[in-house]
Amino acid sequence: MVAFVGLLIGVILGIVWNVDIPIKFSPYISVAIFACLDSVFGALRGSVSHNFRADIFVSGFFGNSALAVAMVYLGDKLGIPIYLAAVIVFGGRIFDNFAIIRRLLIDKAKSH
Amino acid sequence: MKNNEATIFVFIASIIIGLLIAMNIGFEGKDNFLDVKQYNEAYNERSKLYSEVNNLKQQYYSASSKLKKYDSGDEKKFKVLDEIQNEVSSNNIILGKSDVKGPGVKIILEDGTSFDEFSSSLLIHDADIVEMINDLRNAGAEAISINGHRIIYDNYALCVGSPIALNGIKIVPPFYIDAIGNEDVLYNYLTIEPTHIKKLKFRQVKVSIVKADDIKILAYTGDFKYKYMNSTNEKK
Repeated sequence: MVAFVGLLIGVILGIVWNVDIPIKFSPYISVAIFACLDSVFGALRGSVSHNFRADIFVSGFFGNSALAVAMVYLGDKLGIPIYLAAVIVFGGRIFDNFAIIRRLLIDKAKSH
Repeated sequence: MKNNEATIFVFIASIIIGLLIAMNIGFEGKDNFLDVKQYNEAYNERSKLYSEVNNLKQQYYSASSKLKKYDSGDEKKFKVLDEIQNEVSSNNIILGKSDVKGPGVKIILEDGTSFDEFSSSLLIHDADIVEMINDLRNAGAEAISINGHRIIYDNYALCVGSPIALNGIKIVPPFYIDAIGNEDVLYNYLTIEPTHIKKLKFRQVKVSIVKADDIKILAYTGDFKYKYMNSTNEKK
């Protein structure tokens, strides 16, 4: 719930400020968004299963996105789409985390 | 407590993600995506423009460095003179007024011999020489000489019986044709493309082509004469 509210606020802020990033950076931002999204899902899972750790979350949030951006850059230079690796890993983890969150929430709802 | 902390972090993180998404969507909405064909076209266009820009930059650089040489220094006159001399000598090289050397190909053409019958197709004619020069020029030869005579802009070949008159100078077979240029390009062009050499070989004329690293071609020894043409921007 919090995530959606934050997302909404962020989108509105972005639209209001209307910041344009150069089109060159578009793929970088896209992959970074994916990495951040993965971290957020990880944090949600942590908060649901009560083992959230702020340091791990923050380091993952920035480290993952930085690594993903670096991968995109490297792939761009080498001419192979390395960013696909980041997309696949992050995508898979998002679904994994979502599955775990789902299970935990449903279990919680049932136990009440 | 732990849950609260997580909520705050997730809240901040999702705001950041929302911002990023909004920023990205902001210009994706302007329809900046191309399909493969458009992308290729745009890419080609870009590289073309880049190379044009590079060319222009080089021209600009050489022109401006020339200008600087004219402008700067106390020995202006000498520098200008030097520069003019440089230009004159490079023009002489292009015209064929000075000896040149460089990589290229050496071609030897010799009249063919046949035991059973004599035929005019075994001989090398004036037109063959002209075609050979044309082929070499087409392949990018920068300097050509035949039997030591430099080929210049107004050369002609004429059949005068057994020898061939090259600009009035009689030359006889075997013809040693030297050409300076990119040796691989010249060699491959002459041997692979359907050039006149193929026809000569078919006519059983003896042809040999070899690459050479260091060919010397002497200067054109005749005069440069013109009677009727005048420069259109002559200063009076």
